[in-house]
Amino acid sequence: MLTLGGAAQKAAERADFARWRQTSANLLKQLKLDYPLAELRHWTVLLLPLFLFLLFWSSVSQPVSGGIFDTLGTESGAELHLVDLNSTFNLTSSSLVNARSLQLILAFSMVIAGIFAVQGTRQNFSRYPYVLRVGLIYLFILIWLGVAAWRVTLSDEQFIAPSIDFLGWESQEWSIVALICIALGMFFYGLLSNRNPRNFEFSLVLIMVSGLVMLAPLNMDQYQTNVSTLVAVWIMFGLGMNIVVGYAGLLDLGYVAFLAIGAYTYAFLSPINTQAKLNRTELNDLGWAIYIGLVVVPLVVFGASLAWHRLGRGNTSNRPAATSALKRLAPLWKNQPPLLVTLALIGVAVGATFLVRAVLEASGQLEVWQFSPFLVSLFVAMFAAAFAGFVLGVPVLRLRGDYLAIVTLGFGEIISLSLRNLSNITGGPSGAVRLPQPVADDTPALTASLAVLYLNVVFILLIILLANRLRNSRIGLAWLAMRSDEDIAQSMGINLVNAKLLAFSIGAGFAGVAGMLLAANQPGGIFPESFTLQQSINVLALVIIGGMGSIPGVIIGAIVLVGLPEILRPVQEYRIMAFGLLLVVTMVVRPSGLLPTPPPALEAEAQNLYQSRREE
Amino acid sequence: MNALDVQSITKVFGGLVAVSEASMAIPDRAIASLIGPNGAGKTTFFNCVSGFYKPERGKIIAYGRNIQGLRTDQIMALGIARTYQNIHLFSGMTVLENILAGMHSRRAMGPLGALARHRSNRDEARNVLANAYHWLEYVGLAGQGDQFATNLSYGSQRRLEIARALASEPRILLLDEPTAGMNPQEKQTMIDFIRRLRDELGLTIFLIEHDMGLVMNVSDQITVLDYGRVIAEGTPTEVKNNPRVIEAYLGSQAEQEPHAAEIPDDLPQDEQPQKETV
Repeated sequence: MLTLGGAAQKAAERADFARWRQTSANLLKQLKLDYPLAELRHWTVLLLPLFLFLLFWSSVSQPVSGGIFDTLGTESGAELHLVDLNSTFNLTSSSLVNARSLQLILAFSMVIAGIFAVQGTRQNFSRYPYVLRVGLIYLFILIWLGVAAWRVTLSDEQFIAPSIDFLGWESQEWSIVALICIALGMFFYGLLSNRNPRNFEFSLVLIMVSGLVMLAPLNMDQYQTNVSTLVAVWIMFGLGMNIVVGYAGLLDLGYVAFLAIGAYTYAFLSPINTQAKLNRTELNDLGWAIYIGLVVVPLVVFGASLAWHRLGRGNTSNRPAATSALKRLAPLWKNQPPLLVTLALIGVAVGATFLVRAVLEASGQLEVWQFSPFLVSLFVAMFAAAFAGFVLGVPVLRLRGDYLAIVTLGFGEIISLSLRNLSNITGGPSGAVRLPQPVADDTPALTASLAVLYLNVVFILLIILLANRLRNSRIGLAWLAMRSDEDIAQSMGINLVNAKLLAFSIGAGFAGVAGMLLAANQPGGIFPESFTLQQSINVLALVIIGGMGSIPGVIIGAIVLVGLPEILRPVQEYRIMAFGLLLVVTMVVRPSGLLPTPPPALEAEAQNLYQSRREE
Repeated sequence: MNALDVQSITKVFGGLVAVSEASMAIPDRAIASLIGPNGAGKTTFFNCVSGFYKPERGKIIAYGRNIQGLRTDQIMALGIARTYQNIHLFSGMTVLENILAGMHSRRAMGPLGALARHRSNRDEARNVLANAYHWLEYVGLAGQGDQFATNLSYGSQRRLEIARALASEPRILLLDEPTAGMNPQEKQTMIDFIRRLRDELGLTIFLIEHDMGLVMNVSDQITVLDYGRVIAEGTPTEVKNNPRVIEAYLGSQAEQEPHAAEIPDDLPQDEQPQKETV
């Protein structure tokens, strides 16, 4: 354990990306020397995901008729393998890998190739005429929208859109409406992205990769969808861990506790032990208490302090530089609203919540306005896990390195053992079973998993956006400084208490969302065995192997450490051995991880801003 | 009003009294130096002022406010920034990011602002970035902002450390041996730079230095520490001729003979010419 902790710290210390940068600079120099070959190589990297996608798509059994593109003229129900993996590699169902796993590996390689493609784009690329640039981007958009439309609107058992009947329109019509909306959004994105020709390559590759990632699940079967969802959940989980360990440098070995809190929150707020796949439920009194305590009150407190800042009393920005430093610097707590104001606002909010509930009840609307357990537990799980992170953070504020690791390890074990032994509440070792999925009651199983997979993808994108914003903000810089040296960071004006508690809470909140989505895709139920120390070490390892503080690194780490072992179930006995070997080799060969991200280059922008300020 | 008023502070480590009843006052906009033989307690004194150590007794007053007992980040927020004898930059961050991290206490953006990126947050981010470039240019590191801080040359790292301290808009700047390991030319540049900080930015500068030539040249006021006690205070000329200072550095007349061999060891190389004038 301590070895692992030491490795984590070593990796954080050695997060020296200079070599990476030097290599890429040399690469650019080479590009000028042998131009045609380099150009070919460059576009190969950019288009590799497309090639892998075509291989993936053409190797899966395809229905070739039906839908809105009924042009091939073949018989309905016929299937088409452009590439038959089973016969090519002479595979049988008892082989080590079968066609399904190979397709999945292709899909994962596509994601990894997509990351490399996005990172490999160049900025100074505007030799092509405007029409060609716009044309290429729209060609990609049209192709992937067309494929999606064809796949989604296939008839009969191939139909995979959720069955809804809303405002007199059938699901197929609604699917087309949704696709048209996406098309419009893409159209405007295409226009926007072409305003700056320097961004051409980036826009093109981003549209291509996001399109491919969105299309790929449409052709997956149940097994492939489930494995992809598992990987997606671990990406989210890893992104949370990335904030705690990668950004703030706080080694947390009990991190799985927050995943468990998120998952069990979903279980608590769902109607358990019912055969029906309910997707709507009435909140019970406990649910209301949790809802008010963990969602309404924190939102009011945050909102009040934010409003207080906005109203100018706590405005600490834009101070004139020449005034007395002492006058400029009232401590932070002075900028918060007084306790009584906060309490009054909480009272008003809680009262309003109960009033709304009473009105709904009296008018008989509560039945109509029932809560979806998914939407409620989305917030509750996030806030509950963040609160748990805060609670864990308070006692460990003074601890560092190995000591912190031991205490968090203990916290993880407490949660894990509670789940196993508090049978009355958590269901004990037999778990919380038969959880509802966030889809309509009569949705086919494959469509339900597909919906959850897409939900996961959306949340991953959201969390990446938030994590990226945090990384480049004041608080992100404070975390990075704290990772480098706590004492020096504090003497540079960083409040360690705030920074640590924020890192713990935000990281835990992300893990809570991941746990909730994990539970939402396991209609069979969740069990304490899924939330043990092994999972904590796994997530730490995936952050380290991917590269500390690197978001693409987390994605690659999750695919390598969670996706591949799942695909290679037949050789499960060697899994842990391979795992250890991979960790050792990565740390020796690439101490900063498989895909470390260089920090943002800010100087050019800073220089522009500074000069434009001076001209004013 | 005095910028800094240290009133008889005492710092004890176990049985060792590192700083004992030391007092000093620095007027506003002065360049004050703290000198003394090795192990005299200079850095301990500095650490007490910047909040790393909590002195057992005494008061430290900065611009009329008692800062004794505050945390280092609170002291920084009150306008007292420092640099270190051994350079402590944030590794894994670029030069510009180091300066941005130094601005932490002058920024208002919280986590919610970072997530929402409201217009005021974006404005603040832009202001801060432009300001960071200003400091980058001020210390002469323009063009190296995107490099890793730890990849800079030694002299540049020192200047970056000062830029990071300046970015926090301090009123008092504590410099712990700013010219350690520099050649005479670089030292002269540093002297000019320290004067510029005082004249252009109106800072009060408090520095520890071993190079007597530099100290006598740049300081308005010198305080001499020996075995944790202040043994002399005054202008460079006064201190130079103070018999107790001579005794601290060279030993007393009676002791001088037997310990003659040890004297060069106690003194850094740069002090050789100074010794002759004494």
